[in-house]
Amino acid sequence: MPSKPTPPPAQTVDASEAGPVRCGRCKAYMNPWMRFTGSGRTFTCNFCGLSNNTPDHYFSHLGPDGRRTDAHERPELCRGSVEYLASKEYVFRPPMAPAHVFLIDVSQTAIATGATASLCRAVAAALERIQGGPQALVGIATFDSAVHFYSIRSPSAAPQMLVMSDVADVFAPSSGKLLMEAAEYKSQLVELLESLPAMWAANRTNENCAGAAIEAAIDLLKPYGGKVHAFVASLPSVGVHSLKPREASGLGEKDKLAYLMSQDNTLRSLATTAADHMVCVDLLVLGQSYCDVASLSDLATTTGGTVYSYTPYNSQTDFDQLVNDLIWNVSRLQGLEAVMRVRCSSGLDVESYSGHCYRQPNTPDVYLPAIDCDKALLARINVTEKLAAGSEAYVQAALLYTNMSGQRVIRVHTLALPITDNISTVFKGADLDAQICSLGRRVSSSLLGQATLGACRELVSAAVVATLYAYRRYCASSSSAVQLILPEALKLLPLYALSLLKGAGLKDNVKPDDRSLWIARMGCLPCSGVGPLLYPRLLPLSRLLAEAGEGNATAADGNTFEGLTLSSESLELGGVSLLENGYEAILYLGRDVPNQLLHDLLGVDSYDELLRIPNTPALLPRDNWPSRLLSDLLNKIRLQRSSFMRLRVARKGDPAESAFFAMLVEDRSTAGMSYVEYLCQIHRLIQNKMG
Amino acid sequence: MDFAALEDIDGVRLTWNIWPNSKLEATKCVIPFASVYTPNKRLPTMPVLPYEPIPCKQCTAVLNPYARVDFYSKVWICPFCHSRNHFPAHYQGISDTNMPAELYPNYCTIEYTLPKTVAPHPPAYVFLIDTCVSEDELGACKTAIMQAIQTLPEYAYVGLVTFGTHVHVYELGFTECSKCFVFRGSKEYTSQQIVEQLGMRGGASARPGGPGQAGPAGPQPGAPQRRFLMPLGECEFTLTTALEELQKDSYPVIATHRPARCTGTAMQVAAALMGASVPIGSCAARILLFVGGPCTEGQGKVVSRELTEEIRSHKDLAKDGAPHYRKAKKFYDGLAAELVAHGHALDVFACALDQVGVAEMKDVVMTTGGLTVQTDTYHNVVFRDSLKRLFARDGEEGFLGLSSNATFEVIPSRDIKVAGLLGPAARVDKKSPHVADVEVGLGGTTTWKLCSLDSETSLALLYEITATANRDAGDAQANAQFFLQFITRYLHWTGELRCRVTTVTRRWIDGSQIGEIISGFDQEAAAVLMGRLATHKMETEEDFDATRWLDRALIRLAQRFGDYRKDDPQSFNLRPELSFYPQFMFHLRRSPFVQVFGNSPDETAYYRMALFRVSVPDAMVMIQPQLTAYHFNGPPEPVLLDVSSILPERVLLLDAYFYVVVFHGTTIAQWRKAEYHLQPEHVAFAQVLAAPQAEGKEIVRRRFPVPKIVDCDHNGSQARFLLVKLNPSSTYTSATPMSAEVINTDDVSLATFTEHLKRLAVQS
Repeated sequence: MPSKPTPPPAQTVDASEAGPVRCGRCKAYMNPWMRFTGSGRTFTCNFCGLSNNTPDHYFSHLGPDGRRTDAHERPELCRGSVEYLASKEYVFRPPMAPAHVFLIDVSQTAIATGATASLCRAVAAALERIQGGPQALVGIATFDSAVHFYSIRSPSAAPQMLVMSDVADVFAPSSGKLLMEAAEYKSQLVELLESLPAMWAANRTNENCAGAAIEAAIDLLKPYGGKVHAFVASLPSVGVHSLKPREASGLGEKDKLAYLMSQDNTLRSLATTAADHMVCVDLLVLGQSYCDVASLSDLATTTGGTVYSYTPYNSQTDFDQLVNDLIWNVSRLQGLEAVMRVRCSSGLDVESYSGHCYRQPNTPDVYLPAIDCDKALLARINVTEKLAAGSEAYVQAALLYTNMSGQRVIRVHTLALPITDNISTVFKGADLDAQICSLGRRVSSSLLGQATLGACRELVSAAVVATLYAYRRYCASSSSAVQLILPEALKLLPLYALSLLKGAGLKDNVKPDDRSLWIARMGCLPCSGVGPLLYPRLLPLSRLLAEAGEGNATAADGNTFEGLTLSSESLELGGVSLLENGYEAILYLGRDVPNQLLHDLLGVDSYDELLRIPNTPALLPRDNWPSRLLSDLLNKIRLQRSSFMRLRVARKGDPAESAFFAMLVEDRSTAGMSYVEYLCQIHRLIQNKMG
Repeated sequence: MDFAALEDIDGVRLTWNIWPNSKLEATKCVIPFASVYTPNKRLPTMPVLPYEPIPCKQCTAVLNPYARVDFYSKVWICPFCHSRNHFPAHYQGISDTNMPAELYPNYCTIEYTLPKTVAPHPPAYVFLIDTCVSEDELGACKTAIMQAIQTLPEYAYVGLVTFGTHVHVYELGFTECSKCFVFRGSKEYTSQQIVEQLGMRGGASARPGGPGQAGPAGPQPGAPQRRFLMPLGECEFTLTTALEELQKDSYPVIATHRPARCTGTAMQVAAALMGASVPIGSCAARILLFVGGPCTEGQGKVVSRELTEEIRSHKDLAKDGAPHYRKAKKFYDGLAAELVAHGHALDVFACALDQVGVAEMKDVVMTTGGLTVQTDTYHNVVFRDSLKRLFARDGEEGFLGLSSNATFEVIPSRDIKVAGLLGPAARVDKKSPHVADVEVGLGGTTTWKLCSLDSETSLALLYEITATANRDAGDAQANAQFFLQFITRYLHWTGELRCRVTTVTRRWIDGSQIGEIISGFDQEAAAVLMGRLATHKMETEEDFDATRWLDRALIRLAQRFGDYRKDDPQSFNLRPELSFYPQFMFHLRRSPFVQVFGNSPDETAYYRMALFRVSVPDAMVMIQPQLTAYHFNGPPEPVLLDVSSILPERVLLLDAYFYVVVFHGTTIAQWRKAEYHLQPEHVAFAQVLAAPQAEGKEIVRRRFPVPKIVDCDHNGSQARFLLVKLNPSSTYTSATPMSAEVINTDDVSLATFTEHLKRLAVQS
C-alpha cells in the first residue's frame, strides 16, 4: 500500500484551532466511514469500533439518510484524502524554514573532470527555484582534504571562507553566518558560486573528505533540520568516514555480496543522527570510477534522501541532467520534518514499512526528515484474524509534515477495501504495479541483507510461481494442465519478474556502484515508477516521424505512446528507436539509418562518420523537422516522468549500445533467458508444484 | 660608592660590592650576594667590534681588560681560571701601544658582531585577538591594532589569529576571499596536529630527513605553499580587510554564562603557527595576545562558563580552592616550553574589568620575555600607547630596544657558584662547574635563554660564596679581586647577531671587617633583590610569610651592621650605607608585591612580572614611589613619601611606576577651580600647575607599559591613588594631626616600624 503526497493536492481543512477530530482510542482521523449515531451526538470509529462523543464544535444534525447534513461540505467526510492544517499540539518546535546546504567537491579530480564547474553552475541555477520564500536558507561548502564553509555576514559583505581542517573530528563552525537567506543573498551566493571554480582551479589536493564534509554539514543543520546536497566526485579518502577501495569480490551466484554492505559503521550512526535531527542527505555521485555508493547511500536511504549517480561524469553530456535533477530536487512538491503512521481496522496489522525513512526502535511511527512527490513508502499489512466477508477493511495513512510554506500539515489518506471470500475476486482486484513494487523492495532489502544473488533470484521466481500456482489451484483448477494459466490482472507478472532478474540488481557482472544505485532507487520508487524502470518504453522514432508527417514538429501527447515489445524483433531495419526508463533515454541508430536522418539528427553525413566521432556524439537541438520533433517528443516524455533523462546516442561499439541491448529484456542474452523460455520455466515449476 | 654611576657604565648592580672571602662570613651578611644585570642596556659609549670574541680555551670566558697580557709572547692569562691562552694568528700585531679594543681598561662592556648561523628573517608578529568582547571594545581593539600596523615596516611578517568559541587562523596569502582555518576551542591539539591541519608540513621549520617527513599527509609537491605569515607589504589589504570585517563571536551566550573563550587553545595554535612559519633563531618573533576576558573553554581554562562560579581569588589559591588553576598552569607551562624552544615571545594585552587569567599565563610571558599590559578597557590610552610603543623603531620616540633570541651566560671567578636567576628568562640545560648546590629561582645552570629582551630587561643572579675561611693564597693579586663575566649572545634589533660581554670585578675582603663590607652595600639593589626573592618565595613555597621573612632579614641585618649597645634601643644607630634600607622594606611590605589583600591574582601577577623585568632604579620606583612637591618657593623638590607632605599650597607629583598622580593641595585646587592660572597676573601659579603635568608626561614618554595619569585634588575621590602609597604618619588615631590630611588606616607608620626595628635589633 504505497502512499505518497501526489498532486493534485488533497483538499485542505483548517484544523489549526481545535485540531482534527480523532477517535479517542485508536486515534484514527475522521473519515467518511466513521458512522454518526445518536442524532449526530456520537460517532463510531470504523477502525476500532469505539463510540466517541462528537465534539461540540463539530456537531451536525443527521439527515434522513443517516448521514450528517454537512457531509458534502467537509472534505474529511466525503473524500479519501484530506490535508489538515495542524493545531499547536502537532508542532514540536516552530516550523523551520527550509534549509539547503550544498557540498561541492573541489579536489583535483573534481576540478579536472569539470565536475566542480558544473556543480557551481547547477547550484546557482537551483538557487532560483528554492522554495520557502524569503526565509529559505542556503549554505555553501566545498571540500577537498578539508571542509570549507562560506559565510556571508550581510548582503553587502564579501564572503569569508572557514576551513575545517580537522577532518577526523569535524564540526560546523558556530562563528559566522553559514546559512544565508536565499532570496536576500542571492546575488552574492551566485557570485560566490561563479568564483569558486577559479578559486580552486590550482588546487593540487587530490584527497577528499566527503564523509567528514557531510558530517559537518549535518552538524550545521542540526538546529534547523533541512537538506544536505552532497556532491561526491571520488571515493572519500581522508578524515572520518573515509572509505577504502574494495574489490567487487563474490560475483558468483552463491557468493554473498559483501560490497553491498556499508564498510563504515559510523556512517550508519551518522545517518541516524541526521534523521534524529531531521536532516536529509541527498547524495549526488559524479565520479569517474568506484565511489562506494553502497556505503554512502545509507545516508540518503535513512534520511529520506535520494541517490543520484552520473558516473562516469562528463561535463559536456551530463550537465543538463545534473542541473535538471537539482532544480527538480529543490522545486518539486516536498515536505520536511515528517512523521507517518499507518492504521488498520481490526483484523489487520502493519507488519513492516519500507522506503527511505527512519524508524526508531519500539515506536510505531516512521520518521522522514524529508519527503517528496517522487518517493513512496510501502507498508506491508498482515491479516491477523478472519475478516467478515462483505464488510470493509480500512487503512488510514497519516503524514504530519512541514510544507514549503512553513506550515505544519497532516495529510490523511483513508482507504476502504471490500472483503470477499472469493479468491477469483481477489485476483481480479490485484494491482500488478503494487505487486511488482513490493517484490522489487523485497529483492533490494534481501540484497542488502547479505543474501546471495542466487537466493534473491530464487525469491523472485518463487514469488511468481506461488502467486500463479495459487491462481491455478484455487481459480482455474479445471483447465488443462499443459496450459499456463495467468490471471488477467497479473498476466504480465512473469514478464516483470524476468525484467527484475535481468535488471542491474540481480544480473551478473554489474559494477558494485550500479547495483547499489539500483537498490537505492528500488527502495523508494512509487508503483508508477517501477514499471518503466523494469520494462522501459521503446518508441520507434522512424515510425513516429512518418506518422506525424513531413514538417510536423509536434509529437502526440507523451502519455499516449505505447511502447513496443522489448525485443530486437521490434527494431526496424534502418529505423531509429528511442528507449526510456524514467532515468535515462537512449537513441538507438541502426547500421542502415538513412544518411539524411543522420544528418538531420546528429549533423553527420553517414554512419561511418558517426563512428569516427571521438567523443560521445552530442544530440544538439538542430533546426530541422526530425530534430525538432524528437526534442518535442523528449520534452513530453520528460514531463510525464518528471525526470530529465539524459539522452545517449547508441552507436556500434558504444557503451550505450550495450546498455540499450541489455534493456531488451525479452531477448535471450548473457543476463538470462528469453521471455518465452522464462514462461516455460515458470510453467514447469507450477506443474511440479501441482504434481 | 655611587652605585648608580657604576650601573650607567656596565648595567650591573650588586647587592654587595665588597665580598667576604669565606662562606661562613658570607652567610652572616643576611642579604644574598647577587647582581642585577641589564644585558641590553643602552650604553652610548660602548664600542661594537666587527669581529668575534676570543674565548679562554679552558673556561670559555671572553678576553677582557682584566686579563694579564704578555705582549712579547702573545699570551694572555684568563682572570677566571688562570689558564694561559695564546692569541690567535691575526692578533700577532698587538703590543702595549696597539691594543685591541677589548683590552682597553674602560671597555669592560663591549659588543662583538657575530657571523650569522641562520639566514636572517624579518621580524614576525602574530596578532591573536579575542572576539568574545562587546562590539564597542572590539572596535577599539581593532582600531588600535590597525594604527599600530601602520607603523610597522613593510617587510615585517604578520599573521592573524582570532578566537572565541573557536580559533580562526587567517590565510593572508589567499586573496580570492577572506579565508581562515577553524579549530575547535574545546579540543586538545598538539602543535604537530595544528601544523598538519594548516597544511604547513614541509614548511619553513622542517628539516630534511627529519622524523616529521615520514607521514603521508601534507601538501602535494608543487602545490602553492599556504601563507599565514606574510610580509606586511604583500598582505596589508587582506589583513586590514580581515580586521575590519572582524566581528564579535557569534556563538550565543546565555545570560547566566560567560562567553566561551578558548584563549589557551588559541595560544597553542598561534605558537604552532609561528613555530612552523619562522626558522628558529632567525628573527624577533612575537605573539601579541589581545584578550578581554577569562579563558572558559578548552585548555588553559581559568573559570567555568557558569557565572555562579566566581573567578579564583587569592583566598582560593591559598587554600587550593581554585579548581582549574593547577591544570591551567600546567598547560601554560607546557606552552611556555614550546615557545622558548622556538625562541618566540608572548605579549599579553589584557583589557578587561575582570580578571583574564594573567596569573596562570604569567610564566609564559615571563619565560619568553614577553611584555604585559593590563588595563580595564581597549579604549584606555594606556593600552593604545603601549601597543604603539611596542612597534616604535630605533630613533623614534618610545623605542623599547627590543632584541631577541638571546642566550645569557654568566662566568664567575673561582669560589663563586651561581645559585639561580630571578627574571624573565628560561633555563637552558647546560652543564657548568659553577652551579651552586642550593637552587634559587631558575637554577641548576649558568646559561639562560631570553626569547625577547628590551633595553630595560634586568636579570637578578644569586651567588653562593664557597671559599673556605682565611684561605692562604699564593697569588695575592688574584685573590684580592673576583670577577663576574656576563656573556649575552643575541639578535640585535638591527638584525645583527651580537655578543655583549660585560666583565666586572670587585674586591674580596676578610669577612670580619664589617665596616668595610657594609661600605659596599647597595641598599637599592638589595631592596629590589629582596622584593624579587620574597615574591618568588611566596609563589613557590607553601605557607611562606613574606612580611615576617622580610622583617627577620631586616632585624638580622640591623643586628649585624648597626651601631648599638645591647638592650638599649636608644643607642641604636644605622650606618649611612644602611640608613634607607628599613624604609625600603617598610614600603615593600606595604606594596602589592607582598600584600595580596585587595588585589586579584591577575593584578598581583602583573605587578610581579613588572618587578622581575625592570632595572634597579625603576624597581625602586615601584617599591617606594617618588614624591615631588611643586610650590611657589623655589624649584620642585623631592619630599618624604609621607602624609605630612600634603600641604594646601603644594602640587604633589607621585610616580608609582604603574601610575602617576598629580595631586593639588586644597588651596591650589581652589585657585585652579577659580581659573587663576588663566589670568596673566598669575603666571607663577600657572607654572606651578604646568610643571608637574609636564614632568608626568615625561615619565609617560619613557616608560613601558605606559602609566596611567591621575589628575586629582585634595579630598577628591581619585586622591586615594596617592594616599595609599603614603606613610600613614598621621591617622585617625593620632592625637594631634600633624598635617593637612589624615589617612584612615590601622597600618603602622614608618616611625612605629623603625621603633620596633630598633627594639628588636638590640635584643641580645
